[in-house]
Amino acid sequence: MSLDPRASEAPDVNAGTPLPTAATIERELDAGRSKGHLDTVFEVQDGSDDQRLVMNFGPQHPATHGTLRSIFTLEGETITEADVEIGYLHTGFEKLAENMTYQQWVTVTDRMNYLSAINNNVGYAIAVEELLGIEVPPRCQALRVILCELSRIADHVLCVGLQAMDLGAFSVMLWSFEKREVVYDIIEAVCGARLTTSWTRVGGIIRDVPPNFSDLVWSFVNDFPKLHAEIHYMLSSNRIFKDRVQGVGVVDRESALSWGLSGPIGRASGLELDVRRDKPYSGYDKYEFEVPVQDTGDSWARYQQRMAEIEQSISIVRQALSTLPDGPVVHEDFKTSLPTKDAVYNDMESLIHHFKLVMLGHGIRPEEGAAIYSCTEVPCGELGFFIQSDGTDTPWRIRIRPPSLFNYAIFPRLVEGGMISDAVAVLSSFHVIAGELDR
Amino acid sequence: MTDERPDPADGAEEAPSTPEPAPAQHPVSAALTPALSSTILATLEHQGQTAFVVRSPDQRALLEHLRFEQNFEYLKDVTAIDFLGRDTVERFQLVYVLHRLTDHLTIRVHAWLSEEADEAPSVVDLWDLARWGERETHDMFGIVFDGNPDLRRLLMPEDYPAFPLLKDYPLKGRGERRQFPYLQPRGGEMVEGTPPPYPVTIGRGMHTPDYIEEVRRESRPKGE
Amino acid sequence: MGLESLISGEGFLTTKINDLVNWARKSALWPMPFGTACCAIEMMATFSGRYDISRFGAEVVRFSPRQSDLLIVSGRISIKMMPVLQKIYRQMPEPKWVISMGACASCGGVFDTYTLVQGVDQFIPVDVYVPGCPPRPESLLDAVFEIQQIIEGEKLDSGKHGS
Repeated sequence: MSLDPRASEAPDVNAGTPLPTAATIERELDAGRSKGHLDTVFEVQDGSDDQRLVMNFGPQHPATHGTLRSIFTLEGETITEADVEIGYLHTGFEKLAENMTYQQWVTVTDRMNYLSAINNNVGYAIAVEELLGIEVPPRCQALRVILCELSRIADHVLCVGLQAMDLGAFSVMLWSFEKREVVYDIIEAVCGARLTTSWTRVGGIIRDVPPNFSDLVWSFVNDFPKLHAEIHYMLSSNRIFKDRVQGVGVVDRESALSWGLSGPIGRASGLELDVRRDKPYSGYDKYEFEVPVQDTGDSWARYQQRMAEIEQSISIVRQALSTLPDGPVVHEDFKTSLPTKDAVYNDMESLIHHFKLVMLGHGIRPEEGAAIYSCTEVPCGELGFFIQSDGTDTPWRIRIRPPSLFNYAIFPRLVEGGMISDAVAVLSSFHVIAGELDR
Repeated sequence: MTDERPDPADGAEEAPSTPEPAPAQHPVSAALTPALSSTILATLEHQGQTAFVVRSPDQRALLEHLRFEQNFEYLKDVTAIDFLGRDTVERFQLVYVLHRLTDHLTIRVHAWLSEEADEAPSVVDLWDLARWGERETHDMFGIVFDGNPDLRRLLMPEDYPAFPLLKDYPLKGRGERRQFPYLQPRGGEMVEGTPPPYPVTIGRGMHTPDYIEEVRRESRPKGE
Repeated sequence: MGLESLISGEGFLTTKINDLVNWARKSALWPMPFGTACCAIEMMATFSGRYDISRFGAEVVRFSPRQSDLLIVSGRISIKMMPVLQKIYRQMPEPKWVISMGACASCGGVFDTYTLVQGVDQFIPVDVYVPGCPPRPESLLDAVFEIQQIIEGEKLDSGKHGS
C-alpha cells in the first residue's frame, strides 16, 4: 500500500478546484466570502438624512444562543426592520442519512438538539420502529420515558438559566448547570456518555440500566424541587426580571397556529398541542400529567410555561420510576433489532441475527416505498422525522422537522418596533438551538 | 417503488402494495369534492398514516380545500424528495404534512413535480410556516415556489453553486469547503501562508511528506 | 514594537524577565469562547461550578476578541462560519493562542460533508487540539494546562507573537 496520498485510489473529491491563490489577507477576506452584510456597521445608503443604522447581531455573540445572526435596522435604539440569517451550523445531516444505515444514523441525531440528546435518540428510534411496525417491550418504554423526562428537565432548567443570564441574573445559570451535572451523572451511568449519548437502537436501547439507577434518579427527583423553588424565588417576583420580560415578544394563538409553533413556545401562546397527550408514544398514556397552557404569549408566559412543565416532568418521572416493570429491553424479533450482548455471546440464533444485521450488511430493510412521518415531543417542541425507504438498509430520504426552525421563523416580526434589549429578552426566551435549526 | 405508478385516471384507489385493503374510505377522502378526488393519483396507507398523491400543480387546490373546508389549520412540514435514478412518475415529490387539531389527525399530501417544471405553487397564504419551509426546500433542491415573497437561500451561503440534497451532488461536495486562505501571523500582521500541500480529507491528512519520509526511512532494512 | 523588541539575547536578566512575562501570561489567560455546537455546552460546563476553569487563571471569559488571548474553537465550523472565525481571529491582539476543541474543529469529526471545514487548522494556526466528541471538561482543562506549558517555554524574542 503506497503511503503517498497522491497515489491513492480513492477519487480526489477536491480535484478540479484550484487552491486559493496568493492574495493579501486584507483583500481576500474583505472581498467577502459570503455576500450580504458580514461587515458590521454601515450607514443606510439611500441618501436620506436620518439616523438609521444597520447593525449586525451575531453570529458570534454571547447573547445569541448559538450561531444566529440578526440584522437590525436601527433608529436610535428602536428596531425598525429585522432580518435573520441562519445556516452557520448547517452540517448536512439529511444528506448523511442517505449514506448511513438506520442504526448508524442515531449518532447523528444526538448532535441536533445537543442539550437533550436522549429525546432526539428516542424520537428517531420511534420513527424507525413505526416504519417497521414493531413495538418495544414495556420496560424499554418506561426507561425511555424516564430518561426523556430527565433530559427535558435539564433542558428547561438550562433554558431558564440562559434566559436569566441574558437579562443579568447570572447566578441562576450557574445553579442550573450544577443540577445539569447531576443529570449528566445519571445519563453517564446509563449510556456511558454525558452529552452525545446515542442511547437508543432501533427496537430498543443499548443495554439495561445499572442496579443503582433507581437510587440515583430518586435522589435527583427528591432534591430537584429545592432548585425549582429557588429559581422561582429569584425570578418570579423579581421586579427587574418581570419588567424586562412582561409584554415583550407577544405571539397570539392565531399566529402560533399559522406559523407552526409548538412546544413550550406554542403552549405559552395558548396553542394546546402536546404530542405526548394527543398521540401518546412509548407508553405516555399510562401516566397522568397535565399540559399547562398560558394565554399571554409573551416572554413571561414562556418562562412560566417552562417552570410549570418542569413540575409535570418530575411527576412523570416519579410515576414511571415507581411502576417500572421488569423484562427485556429489546424487541424480541431479532431480525430487525440488535440482540443484547449476552444473547449474542450465548445463543446461536442471536449470533446469526447480529451477524446478518451488522457484519454481512443486510441491515434493517423496511418495505420498499414505505414512508412515515412520526413526531415526538422534545423540549423545544415537536420533532418530526419523515422517512422514505427504498427497501435497502440505508434510507432514501430522512427529513428532520426541526422545532427550533419553525419556532424561530417568527422572530423578526416580534422584534420590529422594539428595542435591542427587548430583542435579547425575546431571543433568550425562544431557546433556539442552532444545531437543530441548521442540521 | 411499486405503489408510486398507479393509473392517473382513477381517484382515491388503494395502492397495490399495502397488505390489507381498507374496508371504508378515509374520512378525508370522503369529504373531498369530485373535482378534487379526480386529481388524486393514489392514496397511500402505511401504519395508520394516510397520504394523498397528486401531480403538481393540483396540490394547491387540494391544500386550499383541506385548509378551509376540512379544518387542517396546522401545517407541520414542507419538504421534497429527489427520486433521481428510480423509475417513478416524476423526479421530485413535494411533501406537505398537515394536522387537524379537533381530532388530532395527521395526513400527508405528496405532489409529483417534474424536473422540467419551472415552478410549483406556493402555500404561504394558507400557512405562514411555508415561508421558511419553502425557502429551505428551494435551498436544498432548487425548486422554485411561485408566490413565496422571499425565496432566498436559507441554510447555504448565498453564492453557493449547487443544491446540496440533489442525488447527483456528492456528499463531500466539490471542493467548496476548502476555498479559504490560510492565515499565518508573521511580524505582527497576518500574511497568507502556504496551505497544506496535501488534499486534506479524513485519514489522508496525517500523511504529510515528512511523515512519509520518516516511515520510509524507518522501514528500510538496517545497515543499508 | 512591543515588549519583545526591547529584550533580546540570553542574559540573566533577560531570562528572568522572560520567565516573569510568561508566568503572567499563562496565569491570566482570558479565553474567548467561539462556541458553535455541542462542544460549546461542555465548554460552558467547564466554565461552571463543578469543573471550574477559573481556578487555573482563565476566569475572565470575554466575548470580545479584542480583549482576549485564548481562542477556544468548540464545535463544527461550516463554510458559512469560516469567514467569521477568521475575522474574529484577526481581531484578536497578539499574543494569542488557539485551542481547537473537539473532533469537528480539529479534523471535521464525524461529519465529512459538503459544508463542514475538515479541521480549522487548515485555515488558522492551532496550538492545542482536544480530542473527544464532545471532550470531557477535564480534557479541556488539560488543554489549558498544555497551553500554559507552551507559554512557559516561549522566548520573547522568537518573533512568534509579532514585532
